[in-house]
Formats: sequence, C-alpha cells, structure tokens
Amino acid sequence: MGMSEELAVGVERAQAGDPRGFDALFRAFGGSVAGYLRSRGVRDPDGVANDVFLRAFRTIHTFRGDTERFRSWLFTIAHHTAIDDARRRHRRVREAPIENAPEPVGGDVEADVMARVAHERVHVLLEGLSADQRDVLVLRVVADLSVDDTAAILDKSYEAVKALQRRGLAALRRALSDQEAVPK
Amino acid sequence: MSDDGVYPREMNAPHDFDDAAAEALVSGHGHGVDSGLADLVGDMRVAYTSPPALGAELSALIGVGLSPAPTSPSSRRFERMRSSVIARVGVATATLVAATGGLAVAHALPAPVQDAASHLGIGAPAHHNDQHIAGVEPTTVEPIAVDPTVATEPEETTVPGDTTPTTAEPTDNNGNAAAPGNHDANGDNNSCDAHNDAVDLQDGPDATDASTAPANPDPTMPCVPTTDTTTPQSSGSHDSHGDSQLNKGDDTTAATTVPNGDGHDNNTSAATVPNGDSNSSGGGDRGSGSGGGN
Repeated sequence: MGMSEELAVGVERAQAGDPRGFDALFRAFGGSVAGYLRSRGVRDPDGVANDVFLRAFRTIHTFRGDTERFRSWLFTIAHHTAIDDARRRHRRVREAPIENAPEPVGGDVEADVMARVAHERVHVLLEGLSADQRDVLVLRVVADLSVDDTAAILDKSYEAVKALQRRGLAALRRALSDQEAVPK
Repeated sequence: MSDDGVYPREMNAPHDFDDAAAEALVSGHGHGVDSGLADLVGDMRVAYTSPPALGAELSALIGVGLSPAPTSPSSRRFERMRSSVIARVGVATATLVAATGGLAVAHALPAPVQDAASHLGIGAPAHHNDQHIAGVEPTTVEPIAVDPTVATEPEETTVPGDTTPTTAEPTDNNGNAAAPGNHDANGDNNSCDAHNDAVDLQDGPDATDASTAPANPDPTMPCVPTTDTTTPQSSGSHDSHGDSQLNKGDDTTAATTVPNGDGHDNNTSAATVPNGDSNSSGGGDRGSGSGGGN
C-alpha cells in the first residue's frame, strides 16, 4: 500500500472515529503542521499543533475529498489557528523565539547537534523574508502543498503565490551569498 | 512592503528564477539550478518536520477514538460494532438461561422459581410448595433476579401466645395460613403484614392488617415480638436457615421472632427470612419437610 493509499485509509478511518485513523494522520502531518507553526513564530507550536489536530478530528466528518484535499484542509485549520494564536498573544508573528526549535529526538548526539544547527540556520534565513514569502515557501516546501492550495490557504491569487515564491527564493539566495561572504 | 509582501528593494529587481526553476527548487529537485539553495530547501524540509509532542487530550482521542458522525460514510462499521454488542448480550443471556435451566433440572432452585421453571417445562415442580402464595404470581419470577419474598417455605411455625407448634397447612411463606387478609396489598412480604398472625397482631404500621387484626392492642407499636416462641425442630441457631446475614447480628437462638433489619419485618423461627440470597446455606429454601434446613 502506498503512502497516498495509507493516508486515504487513515482519513476514512478517522471519519469513522477510528483511533487508528487519527494516529495515522497525526503521524503523517504532525511534523509539517508543527513546522509551519514554528515558522510563523507560534510560541507553543506543539500545543497549538495539538489544537489543530483536535479541531480537525472533531470536524473531520464534515470533510469531503481525497488526501490532497485533506492536506489543504488541515493546513487551512493550522493557518487560522496560528492567526488566532497571534491575536491572542498580541504580538508580531515575526518575534519568534529561537527556542521554538524542536527538541532533539535523542540517541545520536552528533545528529541532534546538526539538526539543531540546521534549524537555527534555516530559521535565521527565513527571518529575513517577508511573512508572506515565508508562508508561501513553508507551505510549498514543508507542507508539500500545490500553488493552488497555498493560494487558497493564504487567500491570495495563483500568480501572487508564484511571485512570492520566486522572490522568496531569490531573497534566500542573496542571504546565502551574504553568509558566505562573511568571514567565519 | 507591498500587499504581496515584497520589499521595496525587490520591486524592480529582476527575477532570479523562472517558474520552472522555482518549482524544481521547492520540490527538491533544484540542485541543477542552485545547489546551495537546494540544500537550504532540504534543510528547511528537515528542520520543520519534527513531530510535535502529543498532548493529553489528543492522546486520549487517539487512544479511544470518537463516535462516528451520523453522516460518516463508514457507518457500516458502527453497525457491525452494534451487532457485536447485541450478539454478546445474547450469548450472555443464553448462558444465564441455560445455567438456570440446569439448576431447575437439578431441582436446585428456590421453590417458587422451581415452580415457575416447571411451568415452562424445565425440571420438576417443587413438590413441597404447591400452593402459590397469594398475591405473588409465580410467572413474575425472573430466572435472574430471584424474588426474595417468595423464596421461603415454612414447615412449622409457632405463633406468639401459642406454644404449640402448628403445622402450617396452606401456608404463606411465613408459616401463616394463606388468608388473603394477611398479605400486603402490594405483594410485598417485606412488611410486617406478610407474616404470621401473631406478628400481624402487633403490626401497627399496616393499616390493612390492622383492620384484619383487631386484637392488636397498640397499632403504633413496631414489629417487635412481645412473647417468645418456641423453635420447632430447632437445631441451634437460625443460621441454619440462612437468615443470619439479614438479621444483622440480631439473630438469637431463643427468640424466634427477630428484627429483620428494616425495623418492621419480623419472622418466626420456622419461616425462612427472605434474605435476598438465593445461595443461602440454609436448607429452608429447598427443604421439603424436614424443617432442619435440608
């Protein structure tokens, strides 16, 4: 059974109230949802990610569509939940503390350190983007959403998303060039 | 910054990527476009996909699941679950009925239940209690919940004021002549009126019995015997009748009428106390005339 088929089964089971379906969907999308929330500077990304899935699972019986549609539907919930969280905190989303980095999984110290360094590097680079550019890139790269789905979630046009994507990538390349130019 | 999140310095800058190159980068195939940027995108994918910690509420939800919604397309599964539950209840009921039937065949049920079972063609009727107790329909006896009010069978009883043991002829479950006036209109033998005449004479609280027992000197008196009665075929204490539990320590070997725990119910010695325990050790439930608890 392929990944897409497994997710389809997970969605169907979750709609039937089957805990196995919830578990499968959480395993499949938990990381990317939490990552999206981290990229938006949510203070408690794990807790908000739990809220996202609770909302989704409690209303999943209203969902209609395939797994790709479910992915878009789930990240729409995540997007709105992040906005609600930002409003509650009355603070700018860009004021994300660096301690939002995920906790090391453990086991391999070197891998953990490298992951931490990679996260900090990516986080610093994404901090240089506009919020919309960052949202577009994270939704496209981390959530693996299409341009159409990203546009729907962010309430932007298809062309606007493509432009944000191009400019965001260009900004990242410039930031990389700047980093390489700085003597270590 | 514009509405599309473009910084002013980017407004007139030429695009570094066309759409195809941008798509290749975001999809993870952009090493041919820009290896440094492709690596960064790869790091981004890794850095932001750590699974979140599972909270208690979500953990509980994943552990137990949710009830399926009525509009759920997989309602068939719910139907199967419901059928499974019904099947389990059916099996349990069938097992209980079979066990009760086995007891009936073995003649090990309380007499009224045995009679009821015999009416259904299971086992032989209880030969020691052919008389139905007035006000108690044997068909109402459920195999599961044995009505303690009918699980009695007196052989002999003595009444206060009469030291001669009298063999109960047509008797109620308390050794009393089965006169209609001696029974509770509710069919509840837990009250004083379900017992022998002597008790009824002292049974003030029951207005119906008071009318049938004019000799009661004080209708307001509780059901406490004023005279001792002899214990026919007494072999010791009343525990042989299995009533010691209900009497809650008031069981004595001499006094045959004992408080039954509710302040009203009194029972003569030979009358089996409705103890609500069909598994009582006393033989009074199943005895057929020995009176000694066998």
